[in-house]
Amino acid sequence: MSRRARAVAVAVVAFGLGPADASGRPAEAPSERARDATAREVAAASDELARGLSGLRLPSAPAPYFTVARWIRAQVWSIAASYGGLVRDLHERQQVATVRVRVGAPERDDAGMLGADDTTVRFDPALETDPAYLRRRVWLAQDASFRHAARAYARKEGMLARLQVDVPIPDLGPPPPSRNDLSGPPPPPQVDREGLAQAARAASERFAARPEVDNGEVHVAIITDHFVTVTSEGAAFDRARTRALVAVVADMQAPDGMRVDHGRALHLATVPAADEAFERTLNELTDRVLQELVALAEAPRIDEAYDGPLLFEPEAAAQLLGVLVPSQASGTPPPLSESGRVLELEPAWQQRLGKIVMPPFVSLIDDPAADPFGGYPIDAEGFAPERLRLVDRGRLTSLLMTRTPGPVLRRSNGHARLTPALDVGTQISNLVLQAHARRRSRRALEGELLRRAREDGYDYAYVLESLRDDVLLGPPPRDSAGMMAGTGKVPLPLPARLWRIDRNGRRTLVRGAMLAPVAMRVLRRIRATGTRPVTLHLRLPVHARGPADHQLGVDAALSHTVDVTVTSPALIIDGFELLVERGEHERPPLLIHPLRQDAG
Amino acid sequence: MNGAPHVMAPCRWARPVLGACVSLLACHPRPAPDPPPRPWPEPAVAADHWAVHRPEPTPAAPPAVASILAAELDRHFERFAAVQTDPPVYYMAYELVRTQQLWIEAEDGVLLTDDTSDERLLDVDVRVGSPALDNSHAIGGTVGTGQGLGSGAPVALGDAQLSLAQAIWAETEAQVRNAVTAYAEIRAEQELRATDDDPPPADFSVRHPAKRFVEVPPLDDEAARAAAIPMVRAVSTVLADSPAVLESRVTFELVRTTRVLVDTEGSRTGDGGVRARIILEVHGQADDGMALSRAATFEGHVVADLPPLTTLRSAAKTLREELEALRKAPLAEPYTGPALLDGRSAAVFFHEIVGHRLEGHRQKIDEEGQTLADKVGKRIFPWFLDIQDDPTIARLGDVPLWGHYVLDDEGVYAEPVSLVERGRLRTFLLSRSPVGPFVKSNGHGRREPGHPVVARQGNLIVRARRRLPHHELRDELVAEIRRQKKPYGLWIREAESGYTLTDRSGPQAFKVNPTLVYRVFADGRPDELIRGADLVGTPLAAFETIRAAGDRFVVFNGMCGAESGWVPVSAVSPAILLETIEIERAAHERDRPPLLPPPPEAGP
Repeated sequence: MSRRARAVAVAVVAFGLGPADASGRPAEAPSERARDATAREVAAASDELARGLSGLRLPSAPAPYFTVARWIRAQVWSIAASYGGLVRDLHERQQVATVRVRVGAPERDDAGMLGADDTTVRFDPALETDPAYLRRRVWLAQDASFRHAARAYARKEGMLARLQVDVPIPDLGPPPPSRNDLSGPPPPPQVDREGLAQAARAASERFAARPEVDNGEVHVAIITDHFVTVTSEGAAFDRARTRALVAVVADMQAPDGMRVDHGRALHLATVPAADEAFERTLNELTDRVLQELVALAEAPRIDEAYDGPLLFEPEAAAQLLGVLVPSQASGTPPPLSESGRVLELEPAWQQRLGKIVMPPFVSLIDDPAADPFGGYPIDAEGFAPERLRLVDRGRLTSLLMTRTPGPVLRRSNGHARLTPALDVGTQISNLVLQAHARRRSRRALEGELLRRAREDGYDYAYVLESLRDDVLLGPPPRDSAGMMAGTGKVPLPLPARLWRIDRNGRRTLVRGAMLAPVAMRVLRRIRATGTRPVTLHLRLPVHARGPADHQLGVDAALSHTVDVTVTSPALIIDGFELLVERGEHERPPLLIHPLRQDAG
Repeated sequence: MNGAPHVMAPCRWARPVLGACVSLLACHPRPAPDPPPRPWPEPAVAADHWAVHRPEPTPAAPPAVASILAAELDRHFERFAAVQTDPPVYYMAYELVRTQQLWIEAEDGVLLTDDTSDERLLDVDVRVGSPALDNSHAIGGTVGTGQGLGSGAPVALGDAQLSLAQAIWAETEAQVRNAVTAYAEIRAEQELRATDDDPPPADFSVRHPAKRFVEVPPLDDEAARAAAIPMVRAVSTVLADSPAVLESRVTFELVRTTRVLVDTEGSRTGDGGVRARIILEVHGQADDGMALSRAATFEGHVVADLPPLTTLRSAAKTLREELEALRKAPLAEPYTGPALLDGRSAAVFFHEIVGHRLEGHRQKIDEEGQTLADKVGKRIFPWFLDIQDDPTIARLGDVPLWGHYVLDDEGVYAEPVSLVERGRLRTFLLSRSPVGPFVKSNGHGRREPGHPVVARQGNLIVRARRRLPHHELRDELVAEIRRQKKPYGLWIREAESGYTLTDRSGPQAFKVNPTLVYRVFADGRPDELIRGADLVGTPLAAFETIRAAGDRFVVFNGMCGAESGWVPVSAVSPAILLETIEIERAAHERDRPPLLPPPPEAGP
């Protein structure tokens, strides 16, 4: 088989240089050879997209007008240790590609339907670059995607014919500036797999010091990837990333039978070095998770619901914003169904541009340049990410936009994010809550909290230190904590560390509380803020419409998320409701845990 | 707590488990006079040279992990007794299965997968109640997970004592809860059932504990990988070299499995094996939209069993040519009449229509068709057929049999079982779940980790006491065509998969998916290849129409899926002449072939 190399003039821009590798040295730049190899694949894919655009035709279906092909090659390291034993230690090369054809015209195409993702076709490219093979696979995938799109378009036409559409929203916005920036994949980083496995194993041995704990694991996961995007409009760009996750998760049964879990993670943009500092950090993380879990299991349960003010510590406040803002500030309109737009899926802020959504002393900024962890040079659709003043002193002034127009905002502001699994959707980059007034010291915040609680008839209040990390832990380990949904309201994760504070300022850790779903209006009832914002590194999914989409579990926490930061001070907010979790729990185990044999 | 991560949901080709029940990607039958012969030697054995190899397993010392498992088992069993669980725990077993795997795939000379994996999974079996009635009893007509048998939990790769002990504790606790819940439901259901005259069969049989550890050959996966990568590239290039081929794949798989089992009766066993396999697959499409495929597999117990590169290239070329021929072949019509099931298709036929129906647990479940439950001692096949299942055989001549094992997943020694003698049914495939008068296991309790054990096939071997040379078999076919005054008969050369329905709520039917079918004409016209035929029928009627058998026995090796998961099996059969079979039209996709021709310079 002949594979003709294609000479392509490319503008080489050093995008996607990874951060430092495990040794601390700056990551090596991609080689000229790697760039050329990528360029040849891009040329092959581009040629095939062009051929498809001009040649794919069916008698009664609209012609394709836009196609995008993406492919990613990744190396995955996954280590899991439990109680001193290595349960998983794997290293794999993985790769996947997608092709998406759109038929019709930007004003109306096949997209935007409930289930429209089915028009995207996935396939496996070669492990190494191979332009001819890629082109052939793109040929078949493009053909299949075109058929799906043609079917979807026909279905959409049928639906639209039945609906009264006042102001049609285009299905695709203007293209990004012309871009042909390829770096090629950098050399793979050095990963001390053995050292990391040993560190994980040693950390997991520390579970032995906590015989009360039932189960637990220490995880180290690393993904290094290089992804390429090519469109039929002539855009071609790539990016390389290194992401790592170090996590400890554990669970146990409280004396009353409630199964509780807890976990913490370090989100890194570099390959961790298996040195003493890392081991120390991992051990401290392990000890902290175990200590907090045991404290949670021993904590009393709340005995009545509470709807007074809540004080969100900076960590919890950042987590709350990470759950609420990306999904509800998305500018992507809800999908279309036979009954019209699925309004239950409409982001709450989408129809509120120009209106007050937060107090006048609060602004919300999304700034891609603020932190390299959440930042990125161009988004998944080729747009440079813009600094957004989402909320300006309480007034909603912008939304997170991809190239899919919304009812008011029609152009992208560069917030289409791409996961290693090639999911594309809106997401924040570095979200910052700025308080312009009503900033209080820690002591003053607590005082105000208690005062407001008294006004609501409570002689105590609650301080939320952190929310349950659903991305890390997945669904809760008990049915009684099942997520509630409410029309127009957003379900929330369980509180992880919730403190009851009484009028004397004494704090007691409690458990068994659930946060009732909230409307976004609750953010208008921020009453005061702290003075010391904290920045949280998070990994969040795209396409998330609510916390249920966040319950990925540790093994999907890298592959189905993108990196973001959220910065927030502490917040006192009215309008939340803490409910008492109700349900039957399992009896204590009949068997004696190996670490409890002496006590048993 | 969680499985291995995945960057993305791979569009990986299905591992060779085509078909709802069985993947029969077998070796090809011997050349036939018409059409042209195949250029590579297939694993066939002449009936007169039935060289059976039953290797004497090499004893091995018990691994250290066996002691850890046994200590935890004893501790937990004593604890259950001390707390007097209600119902009582009367039996427990731990089975630890380590699977090391090398998986390499290529298409058109391009490497797609190059993975190694190593995992250990723990199955915990807890039985509550009594051997007469326990939690393994079928619920609602099914035997499945969630009843306290089979857990498939990932555990430490090494023998870290605390790590293993903690995992064992967690799984045992979970399984006893499942067992108690299932037993309560079973008891309630039993009390509501109308009783037959016969006493109900017990759920668990007695046996003497086994104490044996068998050496498992080591795996040099680095050497295997170094050799396999250029091989899959080279063969996949040949395989893809046709415009008729839309997609293709060459896969090299090497798996080493070791098992350690301990139970509360005192059994301490360990065995395992190595499987090597090469799979060639091509996929295309007819102009009318029908999806077409051809496949060939080569199996072995060691890498050295696999054929050389020249043979694989020839196989690839032939598959490609067969696909091209299928594209032009006419569609099958619904048909009843005589047929010659050659080699592998006959083996698939017996695997589906009789093999699964002889699995012991099916005779006990009322929701099952129990087609053969009352036929012990009665003739179900012509007098000249014998059927055995013998997992102790590792090879027939030079041909490896994938259904070979020493000890089953209940720690019972595998036994040769004469299922059918001179056409009469003698017994069933048995695990430790008794069936009627058959109260003792014959070592056929098998499972994939994470599933409960049920009786499964191993090496199903069909022999004929009266055999005809192949050309005489064809003559008989032609004679039968004439006798029945049919326009043609069928020669079914190849079948890749099939399934059988044994649930009473549906028809007790089978379907075999032949991929190479020829019309044979009595007037001497050349055989005509057809496409889109499925072989269907009901077992008893099918058994009755067997008229003759050939003198060469072809082996298929594959993976079979049923209630206890996927297990490696083989089936060995001569060609058989059937007086009447039924062909129905296979599912026919109607999507047009690709709208554009292949990209320029992308072909071979």
